[in-house]
Amino acid sequence: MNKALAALKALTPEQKSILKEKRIDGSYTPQDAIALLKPVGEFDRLNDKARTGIGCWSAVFFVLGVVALIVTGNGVLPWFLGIPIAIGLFGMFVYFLVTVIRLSKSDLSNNFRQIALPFLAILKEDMEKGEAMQLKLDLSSATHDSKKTGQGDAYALGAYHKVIDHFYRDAWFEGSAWLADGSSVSWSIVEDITESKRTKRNARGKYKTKTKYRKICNLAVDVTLPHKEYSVAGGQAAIDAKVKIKNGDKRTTVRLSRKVKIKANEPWDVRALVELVAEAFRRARPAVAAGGAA
Amino acid sequence: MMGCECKGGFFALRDCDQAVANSCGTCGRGVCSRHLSPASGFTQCLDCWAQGHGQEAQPVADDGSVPPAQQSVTEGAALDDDWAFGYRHGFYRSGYAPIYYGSHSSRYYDTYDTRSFDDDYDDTGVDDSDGGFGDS
Repeated sequence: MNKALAALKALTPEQKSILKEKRIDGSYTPQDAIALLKPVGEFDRLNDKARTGIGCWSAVFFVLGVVALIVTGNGVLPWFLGIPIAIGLFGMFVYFLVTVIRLSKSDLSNNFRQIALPFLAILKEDMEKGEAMQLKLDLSSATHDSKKTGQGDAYALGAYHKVIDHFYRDAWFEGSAWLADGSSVSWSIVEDITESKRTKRNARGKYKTKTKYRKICNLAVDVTLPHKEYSVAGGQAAIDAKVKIKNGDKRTTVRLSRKVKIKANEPWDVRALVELVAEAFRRARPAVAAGGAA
Repeated sequence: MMGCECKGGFFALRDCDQAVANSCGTCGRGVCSRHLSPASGFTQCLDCWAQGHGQEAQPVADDGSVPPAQQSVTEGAALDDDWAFGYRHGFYRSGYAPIYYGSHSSRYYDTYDTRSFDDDYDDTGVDDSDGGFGDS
């Protein structure tokens, strides 16, 4: 907890503003973007780790507080000892509860540090130092109310007598960048999430509700390759992706898209996006043979 | 004087050519300060460090998942140049042959099946192709 709070305290006002707004929209050099966002990502990691522990300790202090009150009420502990102990324990419970709520408000989508930051670190390698990229990130929860697109009617499914599906659309990451070889890359990620709340009655007559997720992540990448440097081959993609190639006067645009399906509300591996950009470059051939470059 | 012999880039490799700061303790190439690996104590180039530490990248399954032990980004990954070169090494080893558009072809990258603009370079790195500068 202390590490998370120290990391929060160490953030600059701009970084704190990102945590509050949960949005980034602008033009950044990859070096600046990573310098700005890495401490935010590190805080988010510590925050995720700390919250579980704090939640448990909060519950422990509450239970101990109640036990202290009962024991004092039964006369096992004298009141002048039992009451201060109970107050102290409830005080700790309130402190931990407030801390966990405060940290929860600063929580960012795990997509940020599992996908966005690594992708920027990779893209940085292909960009000239000082070249800016356009970046638009929405780091709020994928199931935030503002992203809800609808709700299905209740239905029954096996042991579950009531299942209600909630639908969300999370267009959380898009951007574009010029690379050092004169190519450009633009990308956009839109995730369609289904949150399924399933209620059943168990053998003891209690109602239990489970929440399950499935999501379809739509990854789209456009890579434009200059004729001066590259010729572009057609054909089947080496990965499971749709490919469209459009020839322009000076550039060839390779448009790639793929769907990633996951049965959880968790980030996918950044490799799914890296492979998509790589597929465009896999088709590139040096333009030397056509008398273009070198 | 010859510049840094490390190649920058991920999807396409390019020459670095920055001023040499030190030579790599493993491959002996001259390397600039940016391409010396901080994780090795600046004794190895990022390429050699990555070859010793980079993970083999696993293909993404149909459901977009990768086993936790083989995920690209582990918790707390530094996402610095050491990480990027380690990831690059794993990605190339998994089958991606990067295109190279520089002018100083190097055998160091042959293991990655680099697709070069400079197929006319011989072993000594001398360009035998037509055009360019001749001997004076």
